[in-house]
Amino acid sequence: MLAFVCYATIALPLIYLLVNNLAVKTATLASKLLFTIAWFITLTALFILNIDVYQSIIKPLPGSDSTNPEFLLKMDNEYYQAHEPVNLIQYWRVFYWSSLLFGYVVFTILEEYESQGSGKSIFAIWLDYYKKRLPFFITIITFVVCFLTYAFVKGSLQM
Amino acid sequence: MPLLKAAFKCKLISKDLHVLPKAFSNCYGLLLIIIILGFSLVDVPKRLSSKLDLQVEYKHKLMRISWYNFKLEELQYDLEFKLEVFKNDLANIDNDYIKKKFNQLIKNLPFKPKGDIECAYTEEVKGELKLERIEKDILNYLHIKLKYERALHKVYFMKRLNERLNNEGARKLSFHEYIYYKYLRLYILTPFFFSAVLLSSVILLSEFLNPSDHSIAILQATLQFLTPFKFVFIFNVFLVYGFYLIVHGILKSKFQGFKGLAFNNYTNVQSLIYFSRNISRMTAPACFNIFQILRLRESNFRVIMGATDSIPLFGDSFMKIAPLLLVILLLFKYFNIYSKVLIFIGIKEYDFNDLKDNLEAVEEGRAIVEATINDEKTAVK
Repeated sequence: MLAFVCYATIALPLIYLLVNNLAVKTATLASKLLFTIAWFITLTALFILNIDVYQSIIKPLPGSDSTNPEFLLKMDNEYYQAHEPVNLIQYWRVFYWSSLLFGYVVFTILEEYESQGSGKSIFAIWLDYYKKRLPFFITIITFVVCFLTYAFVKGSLQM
Repeated sequence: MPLLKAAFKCKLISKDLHVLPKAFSNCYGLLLIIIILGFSLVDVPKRLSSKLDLQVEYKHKLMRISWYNFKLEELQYDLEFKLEVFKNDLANIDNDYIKKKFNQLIKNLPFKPKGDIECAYTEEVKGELKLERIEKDILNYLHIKLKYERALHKVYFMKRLNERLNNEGARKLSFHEYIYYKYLRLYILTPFFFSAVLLSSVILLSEFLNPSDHSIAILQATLQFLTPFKFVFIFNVFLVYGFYLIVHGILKSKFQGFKGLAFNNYTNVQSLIYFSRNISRMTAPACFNIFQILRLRESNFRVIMGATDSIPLFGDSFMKIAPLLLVILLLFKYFNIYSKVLIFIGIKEYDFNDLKDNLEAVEEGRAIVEATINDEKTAVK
């Protein structure tokens, strides 16, 4: 956790400086902070990916005979025995859902807000956004309802 | 109510509800990645190969200058009219903020509106002439002007270099400059080109073998010869290259509203949103794809992802179709089939191959450069 805090303390200001250099001077502070957080999440996901890949390959491969010492031949046994694997599930959960939240919700709202200018409330912007794209959302909802019906029927038949 | 209770007791529904948004977002993100890789896997090595030969690079720069010049003239014509009309209308607007912002925006432009144009414009045109729209157009103009000036600067440098390499001109190259540009440059850039080709081939092969069981055999064989640290090092080389391919693909995309990224406060907010949104949408599916390729089922990522095989089409089925789509897109890009299809239909204005030789554009670019040099010499005198 401490390592993560140190990394965030260094990375966040650097990314903000980069975004500040890229964005026009009329960009608001809120939008620049949102870009900084989104890019920080992406960069952190790459680091977590590295740790997860390393931890996964020092375990026996799936489908292999784990008692066979040949598959553990090149694995870093000393490191594996000396260090407990880091539990990355919470980190992955936070960063997975954050990246989807930013990709599908936050930047959509920000784009609508920027294109319509100030003066409108977030709720009004959301309403306009859905009204413009009504056929698309109806299609998505129809698919979800069909899928739930299919799953329910399949589940009922199994029961 | 009893039916709903029964439905939620059934593990299939409660488990699938949780996985449904993941499967959707994963599928969409993967589709975007496949489309971008289908472009970048060919484009990046091609661009590197065009830099190997100084003459080829010089020709491409001249073509760029010709295109930027044409675009600047078009934008200037459109912008001059809009600014004139807006300035004319500004006298009737009782808003100091808008007047101040307008004056700030036109400060960096090489042309200034006088505001004496008189024309009857419709309510629709009036609506178009909002300050935000004008700001976007001005930014777009300045952005292309910056790229034009950079390309011009590069062409000047290459022109002088060419003259000196052929022992023309008053000033000759120094010994180490001569050796570098005449001989060493090619030997330094060529490994980069071949590395790009190799990395692109391995990424394509790993995507293609993804659904099959051959990948696990390759992984086991690799681990026999490498230690885990060395494996992770090589993995990072591919990861960085893959990330570069995705960023390159997004930056080269020509969607409306996206003008690319530029330093010194030239990037508008819409472009930053477009870039950040696509990167955020693709990160999680890219990680999922990497774990699929490496067949690492015991990872922590897999635990939070869950099993998507129960979702029809958007679950595991899409994973099997996606690599074939990548190969098709790659072949389309390599043989430039997009442009040929458009020409066959009759649309000749768009060309997806901006590295293709166009003699007219080269000559036009050369004429623009000569005219600019002559103007500068006249100004100095």
